Amino acid sequence: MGKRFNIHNANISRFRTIIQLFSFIFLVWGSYSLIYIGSRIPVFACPYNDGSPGSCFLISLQHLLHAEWKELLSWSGIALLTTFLTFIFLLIILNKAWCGFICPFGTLQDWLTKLRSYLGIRFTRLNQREFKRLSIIKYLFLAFLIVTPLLIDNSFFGAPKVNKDMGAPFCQICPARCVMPTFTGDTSQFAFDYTSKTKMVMSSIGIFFTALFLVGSFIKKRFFCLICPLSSLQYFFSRIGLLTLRKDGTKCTKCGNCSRVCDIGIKAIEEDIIHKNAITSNCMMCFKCVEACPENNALKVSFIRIPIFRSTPEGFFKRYPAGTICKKSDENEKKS
Amino acid sequence: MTMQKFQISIVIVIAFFLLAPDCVRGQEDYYWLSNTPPPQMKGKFRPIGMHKLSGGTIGRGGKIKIAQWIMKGSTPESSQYVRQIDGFDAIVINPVGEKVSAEIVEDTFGSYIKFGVDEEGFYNLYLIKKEVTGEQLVLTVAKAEKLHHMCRNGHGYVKKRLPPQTFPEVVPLELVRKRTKREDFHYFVRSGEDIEIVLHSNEAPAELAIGFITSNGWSKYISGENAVTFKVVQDYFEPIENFDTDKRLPFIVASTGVIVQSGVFNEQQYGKIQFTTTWTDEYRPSVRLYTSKSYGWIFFAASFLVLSIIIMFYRRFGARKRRGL
Repeated sequence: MGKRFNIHNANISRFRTIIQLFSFIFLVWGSYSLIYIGSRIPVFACPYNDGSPGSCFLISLQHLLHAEWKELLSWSGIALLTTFLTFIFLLIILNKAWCGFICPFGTLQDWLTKLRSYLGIRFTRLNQREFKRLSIIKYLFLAFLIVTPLLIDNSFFGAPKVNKDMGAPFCQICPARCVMPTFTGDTSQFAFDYTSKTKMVMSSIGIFFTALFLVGSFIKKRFFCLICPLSSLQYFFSRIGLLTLRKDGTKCTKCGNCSRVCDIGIKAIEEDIIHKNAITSNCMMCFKCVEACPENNALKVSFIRIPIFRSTPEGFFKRYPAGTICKKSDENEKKS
Repeated sequence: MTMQKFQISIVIVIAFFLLAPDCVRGQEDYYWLSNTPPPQMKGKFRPIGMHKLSGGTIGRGGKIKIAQWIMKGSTPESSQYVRQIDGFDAIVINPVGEKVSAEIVEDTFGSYIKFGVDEEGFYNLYLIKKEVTGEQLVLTVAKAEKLHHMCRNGHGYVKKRLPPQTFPEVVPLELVRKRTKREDFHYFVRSGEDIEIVLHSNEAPAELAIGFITSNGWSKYISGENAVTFKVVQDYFEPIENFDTDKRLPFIVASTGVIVQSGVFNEQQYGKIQFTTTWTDEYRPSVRLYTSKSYGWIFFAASFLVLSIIIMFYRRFGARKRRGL
């Protein structure tokens, strides 16, 4: 009699790769099949890309906040509220797995990592100080994209209003705006805008960030996710998500496998044995940590409190037959 | 050039101007619909939505009312606001194909068609006049397709409500702009683009000319075809410091012709229909006038190179420094 299939011993990364591929195809070229999935998508479904069947929540948020107080406090405010509620609803279902499984921009970074690995270029691991410093940037971006549109139409304490060319400010500097349309043959976003000084500066920053994204993704896994404002916004609501990643600190031996396989480089998953909730602001719920954990039930993924994937010794040895998670890239790093 | 050839050329030019219909000479006065209120009334109206339709709201969070101004003239620049308007009917059809309540408001500064908008998409506006003079029915139709869109209302309707709508039961003939392949609710007509115009009519015209007239009066006419393509020509130039990417200037597409068709209108018989129909929109300057892809790519390549070098040095010397070498 053959062995019974056990989901907990399965290779979730392979499943994730397939989901990522389909999501990428759908979110980059989906509109050509005349499908529209809304404008509150909690991933970088960039509306500057003609092929995108929907649009990223951030552009909707910035648009809606670009209004006078009296508009925001009237019926128009309801649009903002419903947009936000839809975003939260989508988050409740998949939590931050939107980043790990669906986001086409994240997928692109994973592919760049594969290319780097194929070329034998070593990657960079940030130390905790660098990691924390970079992680703050996403909250600054989030504040920037929320406050700036409000300042365009409203004056705070008599201060001058912000230039109207700053509309949708984050989109102007977001690398996805330049990168995603290139998949449908549109390179128009790689253009300097001479209209005004503001536009010129913003378009320059946008192009610079695109270069930074490409260079960064090539040397640091999921580089942009570290500074992604959408990720920080998602984190505020991750506690109410139906999909959870929980850690049982009593079963943890602090072997460090979980943090070693983490593409983002989160140390807390290894070090924190007190908190049950293992989702941090940088986590993208790819569940690589669960795969790499050799302890029974130490890490557990649940949906509405029903365990759907958990760490098992059998699963670990099946995925890593040598009992080590040392990868080629690590070997390269050691050699260099 | 010999004297004989010169004389023949002169004769041809004179014959062209004498024999061609008025529209070919661009001298006819057209009725058309404008989005720009008279200067004296600008304070009463404000731009609504992404396409800055002239209008306003009634009450806090109330229904949005749009006003489109009735103009008369041979070019947008030389046209005048029509103060008193007789014999015209205003019909407005919303994006889902339903007639909406519309009225012509006569004002000392200019008359306008007023209607409420509550749906996202293209509103078809018609200003129609029919009268029998002699043995012909003179039909005048001024049409505009006004796109109402606010991003806050979402984009779920875009694909359904983008295609042009025609209403042969309301108006016997009308000009329609074919949508472009990459068009959505955020599309603006820009200079340098081609616009495809089709005349939809219940009966095929015996004579037909369709013309494109820019704001300052540059024009081009094509005769005998009911589907034509015009390049939107920007007919103004201004120094870069005054350049405004949001500058909107109107243009008119006008068609004139004759349909051989007899009938009765207001108990008066006619043997043919003499029609003049206009379709108007606004254009903005081309994106190419104020953006540069080549400089963008050069800047991108330079940034990429500099960042790569910085990281290379950081890895080489930063690592040594940390190891204390």
